[in-house]
Amino acid sequence: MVQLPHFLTVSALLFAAGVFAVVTRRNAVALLMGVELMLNAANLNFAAFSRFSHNALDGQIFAMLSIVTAAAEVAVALAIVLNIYRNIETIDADRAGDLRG
Amino acid sequence: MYLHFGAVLVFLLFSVAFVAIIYGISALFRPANPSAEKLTTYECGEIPFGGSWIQFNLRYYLIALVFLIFEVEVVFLYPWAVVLRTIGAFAFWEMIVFLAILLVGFAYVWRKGDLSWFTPSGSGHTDATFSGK
Amino acid sequence: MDSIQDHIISSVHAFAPEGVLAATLLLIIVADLLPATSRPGVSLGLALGGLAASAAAVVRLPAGETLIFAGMLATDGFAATFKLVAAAVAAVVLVVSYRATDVDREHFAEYCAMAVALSMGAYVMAAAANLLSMFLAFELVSMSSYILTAHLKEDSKSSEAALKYVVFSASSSAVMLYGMSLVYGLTGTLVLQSIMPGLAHSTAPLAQSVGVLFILAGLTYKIAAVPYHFWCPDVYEGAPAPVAAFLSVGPKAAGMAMLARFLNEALFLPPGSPIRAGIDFGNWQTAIVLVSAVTMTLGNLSALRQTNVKRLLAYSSIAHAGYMLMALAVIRPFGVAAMTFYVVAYAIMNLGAFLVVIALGKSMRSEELDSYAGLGARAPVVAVLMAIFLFSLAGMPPTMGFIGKLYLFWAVLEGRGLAWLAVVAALNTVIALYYYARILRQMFFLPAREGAAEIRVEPIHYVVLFLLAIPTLVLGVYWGPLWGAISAAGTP
Repeated sequence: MVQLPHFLTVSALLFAAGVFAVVTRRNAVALLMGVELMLNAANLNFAAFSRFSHNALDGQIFAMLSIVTAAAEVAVALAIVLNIYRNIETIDADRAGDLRG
Repeated sequence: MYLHFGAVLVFLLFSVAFVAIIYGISALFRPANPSAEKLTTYECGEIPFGGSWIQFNLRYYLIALVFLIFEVEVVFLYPWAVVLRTIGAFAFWEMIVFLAILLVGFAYVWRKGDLSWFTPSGSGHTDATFSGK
Repeated sequence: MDSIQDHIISSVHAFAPEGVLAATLLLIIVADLLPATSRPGVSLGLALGGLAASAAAVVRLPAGETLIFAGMLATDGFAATFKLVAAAVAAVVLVVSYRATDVDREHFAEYCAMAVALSMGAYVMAAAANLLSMFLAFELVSMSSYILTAHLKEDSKSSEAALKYVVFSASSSAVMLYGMSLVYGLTGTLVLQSIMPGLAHSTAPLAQSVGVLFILAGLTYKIAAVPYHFWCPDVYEGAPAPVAAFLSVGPKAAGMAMLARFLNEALFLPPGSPIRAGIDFGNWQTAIVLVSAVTMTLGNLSALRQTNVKRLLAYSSIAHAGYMLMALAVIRPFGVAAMTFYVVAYAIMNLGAFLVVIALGKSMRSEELDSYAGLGARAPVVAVLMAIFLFSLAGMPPTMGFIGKLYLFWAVLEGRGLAWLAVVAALNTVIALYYYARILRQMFFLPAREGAAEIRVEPIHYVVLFLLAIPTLVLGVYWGPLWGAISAAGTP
């Protein structure tokens, strides 16, 4: 029988994995994945507490809203990463153009 | 008074120790004989050519981003659809307002040319939004 | 079911200020899509109109301690004060940005829309009385800040600053969310006021401490207090100058409001209350006091060796967060009022100092301290205005900053056993005086470099500079009515 402690353990491990990724990774996209893990650990907590210990819906609503917020946040973050990539590439292209000219 | 901060300290120490132990155990038991062949990409027995890290067209990421934003909003539609009958007109109009706001965002993306694969200028190159000035 | 609906419908009118801002945001986007109205002037007009209308709606709301949307938001005088500050700050920043060099006029509509979104987030942060509304408001402010920071798409510094900001901010909000989930699990409630009684019944002190500590970590991140300050100088340096001005004031004020409400409603046990919790405000008071002392000291010491004016102002804004926290440590009506008064003073003087950087940036094309040499002769009016703002930031009489610091020190000395904190703050004021004086020395006592550019300042920048300098001086000698209004607005 899966009970509240199981969920909490999984969520704590997820959170730890997320923190580990954020601290050790150098790649921006991997960093964002780490953040996602942390957010989802919290969402799992909310849903589990809401189901097992309080029998109220507010935790699940919180989890839903935070999923949507996290998606929006990641979209903004990825747009910024794309923009950085584009800037760097543009700089390289300019340099190549100078050499040729 | 500081007792509970002490508990936080224990928590921190434990997590650091945990990571160190896991790494230590795997370092003890794993064999280490690296060779160049191990680093090549596995392609169903074929001899691989080129790197596995190829460059995708930036367009894919843009479309994915736009998709992500609009798709996630469906999360709100499911619970709404379940209780729509019991709540009635109030819930209906609430969702209409929500969708109208989303629609403005959609119109914005459309008008700025992010939905077309080829840019309005016809260059067919990667980016419309990110073309700047 | 019907009663909940009725409650929600009756709450809507109290949500009018935020509603007006949301409508403004949509209007700006729609206007930008129509070719006839796709001009920077139209966007600016719409944004300013919306901010003014929402401020009017804040003022017109009947005062009173009410919770709307089933305890999501509080509409009290405290929230109203911070909402007015947020609206005013956004309006000033937008007017300044219209003529600033490092704002992209082609995308000015997006800029205005994001500034309005940030103010809306700040409104909700000031009023949030529930963990859910706290989190959502926090995220709204963060996301609009990222987009504003990345506003200059062509500038790799702007994008890099934005990426740094996103990574730090997203991880801190994830940490805060995890803390919230633990607190929810222990107490079974998301409403701030019921958290303390809930914690009192729980028997897991470790989870309690971790949960509350994680939430406080997210909040101290937003106000850029040590140890969550390291993003601040990099972001301010890379972001367009008007955005840096905005970020140094808007989100910080909202963060202080949210922190004050969280401490006051969720962690504070009134003396003699029957509830005995495993943890109570005493523990958190110690934490806040330590954070405050370290923040102001580290901020000021780091500011000493800066050569870029924007970075210098960034460290000075970190130090100011420390001063404001000082008053929160003595959480009683007087401390909160002193903090609010200081936030108003800080908003005016810090915007002023940043505005000088923006106004000069157009001709100087540099934000290095060296390029300010001889400014007293090259542009005497701007130099004198800058001197006023710096004196105020340093806390010299007869400026508003002096009065603000006076109330902060007073509040700390009222608190038992915190005299040492006042001493630390006083020492810090002396350190701060040194680096503000460095700017003054560059401006008034050093000759201009060879070939220094001629300084030309936009008329609108002059107007706004004077509009900020006048209250800095006037409220330094005649602050009674403002203090009266703020202390009458009450605590969260």
